[in-house]
Amino acid sequence: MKKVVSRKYKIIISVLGIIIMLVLFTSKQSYKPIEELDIANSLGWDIEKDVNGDVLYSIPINVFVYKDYKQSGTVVHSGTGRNISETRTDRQRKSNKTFLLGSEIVNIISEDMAKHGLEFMTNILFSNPTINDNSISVVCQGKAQDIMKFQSKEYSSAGEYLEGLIVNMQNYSFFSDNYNAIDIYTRQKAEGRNICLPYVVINNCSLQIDGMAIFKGEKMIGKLNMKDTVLLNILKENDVKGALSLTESSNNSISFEGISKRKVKCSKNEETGQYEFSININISGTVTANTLYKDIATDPKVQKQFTEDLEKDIESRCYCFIDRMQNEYKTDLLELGRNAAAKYGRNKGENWNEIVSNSNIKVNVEVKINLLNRGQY
Amino acid sequence: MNKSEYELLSPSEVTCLLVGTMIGIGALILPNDVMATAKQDGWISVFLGAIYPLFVMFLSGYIIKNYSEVNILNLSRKFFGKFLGNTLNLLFSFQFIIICTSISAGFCNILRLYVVSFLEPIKIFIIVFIIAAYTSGKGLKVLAKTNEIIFYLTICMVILPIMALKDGSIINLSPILGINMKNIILGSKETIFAYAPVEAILLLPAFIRDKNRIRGSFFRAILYTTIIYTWITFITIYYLGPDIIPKCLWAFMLVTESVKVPVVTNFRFIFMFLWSIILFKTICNEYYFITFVLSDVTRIKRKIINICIFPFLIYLSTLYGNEAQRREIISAIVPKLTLFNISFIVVIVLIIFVKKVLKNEKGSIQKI
Repeated sequence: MKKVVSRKYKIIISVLGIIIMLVLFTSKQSYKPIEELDIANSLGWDIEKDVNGDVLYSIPINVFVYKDYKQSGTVVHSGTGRNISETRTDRQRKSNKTFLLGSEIVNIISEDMAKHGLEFMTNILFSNPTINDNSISVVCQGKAQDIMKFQSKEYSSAGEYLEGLIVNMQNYSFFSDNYNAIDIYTRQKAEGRNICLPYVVINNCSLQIDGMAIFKGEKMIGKLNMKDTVLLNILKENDVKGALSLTESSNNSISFEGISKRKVKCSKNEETGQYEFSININISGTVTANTLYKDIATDPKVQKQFTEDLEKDIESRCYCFIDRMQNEYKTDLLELGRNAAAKYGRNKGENWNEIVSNSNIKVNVEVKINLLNRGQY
Repeated sequence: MNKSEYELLSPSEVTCLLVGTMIGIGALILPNDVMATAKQDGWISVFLGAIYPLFVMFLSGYIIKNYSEVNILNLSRKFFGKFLGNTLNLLFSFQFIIICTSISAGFCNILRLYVVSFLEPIKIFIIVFIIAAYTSGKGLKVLAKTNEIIFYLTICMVILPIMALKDGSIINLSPILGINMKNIILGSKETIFAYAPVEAILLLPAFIRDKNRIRGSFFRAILYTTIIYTWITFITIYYLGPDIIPKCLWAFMLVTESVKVPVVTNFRFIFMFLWSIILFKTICNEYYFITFVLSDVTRIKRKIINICIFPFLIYLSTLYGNEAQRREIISAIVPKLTLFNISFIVVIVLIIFVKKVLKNEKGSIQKI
């Protein structure tokens, strides 16, 4: 009987196997157990003033500590220097473990760093192949190191807590999920786009969101409070979820939760060269509680009255916000330049921040009630 | 040549072999190549780039129609004499050598970047070429079957980034045709490398079972490749936007980040692992073609050449250096090689044509 594997093939296969083993396992690379690694779960980006007017970057990392094969808490290592190599050298001086990137979930940027510019951070994150591009970025008040050291009892690390915090902001405040590292790459230097990132503070012994940090190019130019943040998100993001309300007093109010869709139309006046934008917002959702309107669950006329009131309310607030955006920040926070560039051609050297600040922006809001819950009590 | 029916290639195997020969590392860097001139309309450039393989298809169809049992190497010896013919044949094999080594150099670069940064290049090359030599030593039929299997893997890998559709925006692609036509055509010139080794079909006619269906399977191969290339470029621009792609050496790899698989923190490693199988296959194909031409020219047994060129190719691969250097070398050499190949084929076609005309005239004179 003929053998399935002849002798010749046995020799060839074993020789090849030995060569492959020799090639692969004769490298200097040593294998380390998890206790001997600094596995970062969040990265911080701080800045310090140097004596000669230059700045020093300080990059703290929050790493898990393992003991007896169990996770037993976190510790913060920080390195300071004028560039990334110096910070790494400095950090390694204070840690007895190998630094490993790849599983970080949050980038915490201090406000000073954001105001100085994100160029340094984006540059490093973009060039490093092992980085997790889906890590969430936030801007924080004070120092990133303090946010990292802040330890709540329920969560093992600030990074994990912040991740959950940002993800769940999508429920009521019209937040999108575009605050990842890859979103920074695709916005910072793209034509007609600007970054905005959630702003985090420590208040009453808890880490919380306190609005939105807004950027012009790579530099942070200001911070919006929560009310403005909601308006910014409605005007900027498509397909986001949130809650709105009309309140006369705490006894007379109506609450509404819905999904907002946004469409931008852009037109150009050929003679004057002026751009005109119209933002159409379509919010459809549920009335969650109502003590303001009578018989809203049964009477379509009342429903119409309510939607008109809400539309008017949102529109007037949106115009107020746009007015501030055009005159105070003078920045295209709504990424309208992106739509205009897509329609009238890219790379023509137009300054979209300036153009949008001087152009006419119209907002049309349409509210639809598509679910009435169980009824009105 | 007396080959049993089993050893000859079926039409679908020919298609897969050609697709496998074209799709390799080129697919990963294609968005970068066309971006410089064609900007957001790069995907149209890639689509137009298919003109080159279609032209080769037209020419080779003519050759195979007239000489269906001999390959281009025999033809060139027949027309140009033994010495000149063999010299031209050697030059024809240069393209396979350059592409084989440059793909393995690029493979080494991307593998070291994303997965095995601790391995030295030479070690990667040794393993890559051991696999290539082994597969090519097995003969064309095995190679074609391998290509057929990996073809389906390629399709799966290419479809996966469809998940990026929800994250990107069509705004990134517009204005469509916003760049003038001249730049789009200039951009399509850059795609030649990706479509380049398709001339290999001219080595194969003797191994194909059904000669009448060559043109059909060739056309299908070009169609699949063009669709895959256009899709890759399209999705990359759609996801990243025209301003970011030039900043990234491997733009398509960033798109694969958008694939979020539950439990897996980083899909990149899985993608890299599966894509390296695709690259292995391309290197194996080129390796086979090199040994084929060399053994035909030197009249030495292919199995011996198979082992002899192994260290030579490893040495060549190490010369490319880092990614920027590699791309510079390729963009300098490949257009010249392509020019040579295309003129080589055109000259042969012309000779066949002239011979045919003369023969017909003779025939008609004799009839009178």
